[in-house]
Amino acid sequence: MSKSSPSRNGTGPVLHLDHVTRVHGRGAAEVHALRGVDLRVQAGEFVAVMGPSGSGKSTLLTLAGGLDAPTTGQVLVEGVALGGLSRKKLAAARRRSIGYVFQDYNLIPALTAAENIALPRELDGVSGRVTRREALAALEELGIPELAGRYPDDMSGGQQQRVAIARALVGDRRLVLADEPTGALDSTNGEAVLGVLRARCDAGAAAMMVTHEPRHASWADRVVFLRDGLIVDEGFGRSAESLQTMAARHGNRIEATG
Amino acid sequence: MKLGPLKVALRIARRDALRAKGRSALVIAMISLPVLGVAGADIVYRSGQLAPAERVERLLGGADALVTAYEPGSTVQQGPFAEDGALAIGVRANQGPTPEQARSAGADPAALLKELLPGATLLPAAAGLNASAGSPNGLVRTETSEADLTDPVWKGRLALVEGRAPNAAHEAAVTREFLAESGLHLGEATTLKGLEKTPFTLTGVVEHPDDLAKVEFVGRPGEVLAPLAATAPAAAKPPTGAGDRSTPGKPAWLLRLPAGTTLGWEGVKKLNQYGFTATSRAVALDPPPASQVSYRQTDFDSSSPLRSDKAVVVGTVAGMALLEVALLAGPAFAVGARRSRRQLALIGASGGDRGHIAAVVLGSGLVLGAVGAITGVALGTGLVALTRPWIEETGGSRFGHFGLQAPDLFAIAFVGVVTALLAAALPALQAARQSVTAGLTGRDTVKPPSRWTTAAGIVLFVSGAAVALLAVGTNDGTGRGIAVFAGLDRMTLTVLAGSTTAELGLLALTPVLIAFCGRLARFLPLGGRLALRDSARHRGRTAPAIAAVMAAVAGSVAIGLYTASSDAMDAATYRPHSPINSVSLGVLTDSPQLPQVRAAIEQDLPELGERADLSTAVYSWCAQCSSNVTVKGNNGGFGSRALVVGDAAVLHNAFAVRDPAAEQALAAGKAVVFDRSLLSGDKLVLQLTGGFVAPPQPGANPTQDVREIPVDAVVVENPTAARYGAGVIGTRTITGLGLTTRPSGSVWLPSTAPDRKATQRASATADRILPSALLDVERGFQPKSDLPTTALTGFAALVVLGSACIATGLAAADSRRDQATLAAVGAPPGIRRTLSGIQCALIAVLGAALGTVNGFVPAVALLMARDVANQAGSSTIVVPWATIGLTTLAVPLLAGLLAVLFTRADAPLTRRLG
Repeated sequence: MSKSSPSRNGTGPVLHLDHVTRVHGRGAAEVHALRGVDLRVQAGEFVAVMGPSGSGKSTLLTLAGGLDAPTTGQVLVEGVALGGLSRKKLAAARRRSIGYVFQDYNLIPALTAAENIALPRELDGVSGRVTRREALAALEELGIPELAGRYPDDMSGGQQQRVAIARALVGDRRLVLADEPTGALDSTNGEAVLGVLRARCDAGAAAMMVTHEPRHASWADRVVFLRDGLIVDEGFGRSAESLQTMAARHGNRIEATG
Repeated sequence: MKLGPLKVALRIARRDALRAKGRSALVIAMISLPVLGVAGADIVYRSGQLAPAERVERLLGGADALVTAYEPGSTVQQGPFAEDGALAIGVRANQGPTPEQARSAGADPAALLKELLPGATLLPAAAGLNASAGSPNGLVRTETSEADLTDPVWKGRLALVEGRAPNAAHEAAVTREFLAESGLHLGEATTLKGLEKTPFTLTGVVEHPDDLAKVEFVGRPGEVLAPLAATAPAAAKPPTGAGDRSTPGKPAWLLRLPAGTTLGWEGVKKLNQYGFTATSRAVALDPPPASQVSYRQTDFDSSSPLRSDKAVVVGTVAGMALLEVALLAGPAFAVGARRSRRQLALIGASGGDRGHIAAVVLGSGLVLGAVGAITGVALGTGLVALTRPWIEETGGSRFGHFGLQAPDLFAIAFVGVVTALLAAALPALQAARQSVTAGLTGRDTVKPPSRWTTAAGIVLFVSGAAVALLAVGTNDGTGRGIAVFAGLDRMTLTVLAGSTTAELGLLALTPVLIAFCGRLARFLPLGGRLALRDSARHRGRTAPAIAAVMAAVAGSVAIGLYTASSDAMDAATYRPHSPINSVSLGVLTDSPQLPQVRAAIEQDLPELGERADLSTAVYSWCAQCSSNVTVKGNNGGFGSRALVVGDAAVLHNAFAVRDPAAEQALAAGKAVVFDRSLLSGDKLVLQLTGGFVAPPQPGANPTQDVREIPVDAVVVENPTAARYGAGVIGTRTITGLGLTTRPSGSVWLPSTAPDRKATQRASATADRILPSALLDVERGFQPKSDLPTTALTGFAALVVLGSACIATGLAAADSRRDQATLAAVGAPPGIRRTLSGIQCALIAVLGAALGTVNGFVPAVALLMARDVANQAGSSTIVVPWATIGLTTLAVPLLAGLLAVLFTRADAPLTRRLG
């Protein structure tokens, strides 16, 4: 898919959060995680989300991934409102359009690395031979072909994270969502993973990554700052240093989850 | 371990139990249910065992003693309770009667008693004749007795439970069962057969606390027993049999002694010398030392091996139940230990050794086991208390007291706790062996099953199966049937020991079999692969569930296979003694009542069709001596193979032969035989056996006078008919030969056999008219009762379902995170259900398949043992496919479907996945 066809209808953004709010709990226990967020991520765009703890970063990501539903507003992926989809169609959207990288990998321990990567495609009914070939190609792309037959419990954290990223990328997904994807990696491996995400965006996908590391956020085209459930600032093509300054301005301490 | 760490372990276990409420409830339920059952049974049993004071109250009511004129003219020996048995010793040979015996021989017992116990008040307490009472339902057979229920002395012995005591002439009380059988109500009147002129008004309901099912009519003193006795025919006898109350039919009295006096053991012994037995309140409550009691209760009951049989059965069943519960509860502890592995690792990291970590998991067993056991005992007690009236009525007697035996209940609760500890033992061991780092990082490195366990499993399985099968193969049958232990002979014991060993071997092999199945997962589609690998990875929770299924199915298959095969063999060797569906009436001697019996049977069993009357040919060689005529050459010529005297109907009914030529020959005076070998030329030779030729001499075989008479005969070759008898001959032919005939019964051949209930009724009628009449219906081979097989199959099915579903529920709870991940990467909503269904069916199928394999070992060995014992050829092994299909296919499928139905489809997309 090319940059010139950003969505299914060819014009809109790949991800569109339209005045999205999310309230957890009720009454006295009510927590406003998001208070009306508007955000568009175009094809080929790599967006980083930063913000202090409790600012709503992870909620934003789970809503974008269709893992949770907004209280008000709507989430559109490739022009399709996720709220209007049946559970079956939503599941299909998750395995065909959206790739999700969790902070602590969430690999299925009973499946090998190759099987974990092939999982969304296999769930989609693609033949075993094709999915295996795709999985091996994804492992190759991430530089870990030797892990194909290994089980998650036999891999290091960094290896697991790369497998998780491969699982999110396989099958030409248009939207990649990543929650602190480099948290468990050393700087070299972390940079390599960001390189893969960058390359995927250059190839036409849209990506949104939650991070607390200004250096990693500098790989993004745009950095969005969240605080108390609202987007309070945006920066384009900034260096790590200027992002550090912005981050310090928007929160005393920026953490991985929010 | 010191107390400090144990306290910590218990504290953690208690809090864990509170946190994982669902899992805790599951274990508590599994422990408490069997405890509830056993505790309830114990309370019922203990409540039924009467204390001496309670027994005294039921026997004596408010009286001081119960005295029976047991054997006037004899001396009696008895124990403290005369109702436990007494022994009458008559006048000794070569000795005259003792003065007491002489005194009691002709005396009026009541007068003698008054004389022996001056000042005592006597209340007659004997039971009377059986009588028939008129009611809307017809005549009701009832026992009769007399009592003045307005006198409080009866309280406790005969309790008035409804209405009022009869206090006017011709009022009576009856038992509840009397009312139920008669359809009468209080306030209505009834008559006793023979006393129709004086109807009795029923005013109250009474009950014997230890015989609630008794049908009894209780009249006021003097109004029933004497008048009934006066009208009764001489043949009517009072009920016989050793009653545990006043001995039926013998005069008995409740005694009130003058204030301040008691009847001690010496007094009882004195009464014994006059032929009385006595149960005295004073003696029963303060029994004499055994040395002073000459009567020893004879233990005719040679049931000691039986008792040990029962003990073995009860022990085996209890042991199996314990094992099943431990195996079923095991997975819950395994999952608990897995979910808290980080916490356990932290204990390790903080300096806890393996023992401490195991103690935490075992602590869960202790906490949950204790709660389960206490809950079970409490619920059991409450349940018995709530349902007490119902239990008493079902059991037929009132409790003496509510029998809470602390040592019993404590022991039952203790077994419950031990079961829970047993269930937690393996998970505790596994948790203790887990490395601290693996626990802290949450890694689950799957270790291959221990090689030692695998090797031990193979050795146990092979050697066990070999012992079971070879022991039988090399046995020559000697010692067969001689009980060595618990009523079982050596061969059966060897078979049982061998198959138990084989089963233990399979149990040890379960983990490696599961691991092997896990390896096959790669060839399966995603759902099967995930389910199989998950089961294989978490052997700790899968193996006990599979083992539980295996044990239950093995038992069901073994019994099913053995029963089906031995039934098939019995069916193959079964020889009917008359045509199938035939109804035979047999009498040993001629009786004028025979026509009446025949008519009664035809009335009770309509549609019997044509009747064939049978006779036996009799040879009389002197006025008082006769013998049955036999057929020469008939080796099996006893009973059914004898020559039958009768007409064509006998051919039809007793031999199922319809042959016009034969009927013609029979009518023409010829004999009809079914086996050519019985003929000499074309004649049938009748043998007439007479008296001894000479008086029998010691050491010499006596010679009898045997005469032979050839008669004309025709042959109808019919091997089946030949089995029923040698042949048929006409009455006229026999009388023509100077012989006589004696009726021996009748045979009918209806198209379908009459049903069992009607047959029982007809049999009872026949018995009443002519006690020697025997009614028999040839129903062909009847398989053994399949109740045990059905019960075991049902039990196995329940365990398969329960075990598979519990393990699946635990697996689903355990893999919530994986399922969230699956949903997040786009798995369709139903995948949770699919996974649960496959996993559940997998556990059920694997366990059932192993159980089936295991069930074959004892069944085949026992069948071989049977062959050796019967010196028969090898048995056909009939596989009960229905049972096996049910337990290995249908039930697992059902388990899978249940899992699918009861698993929530929507994935638990946790709010914070990362």
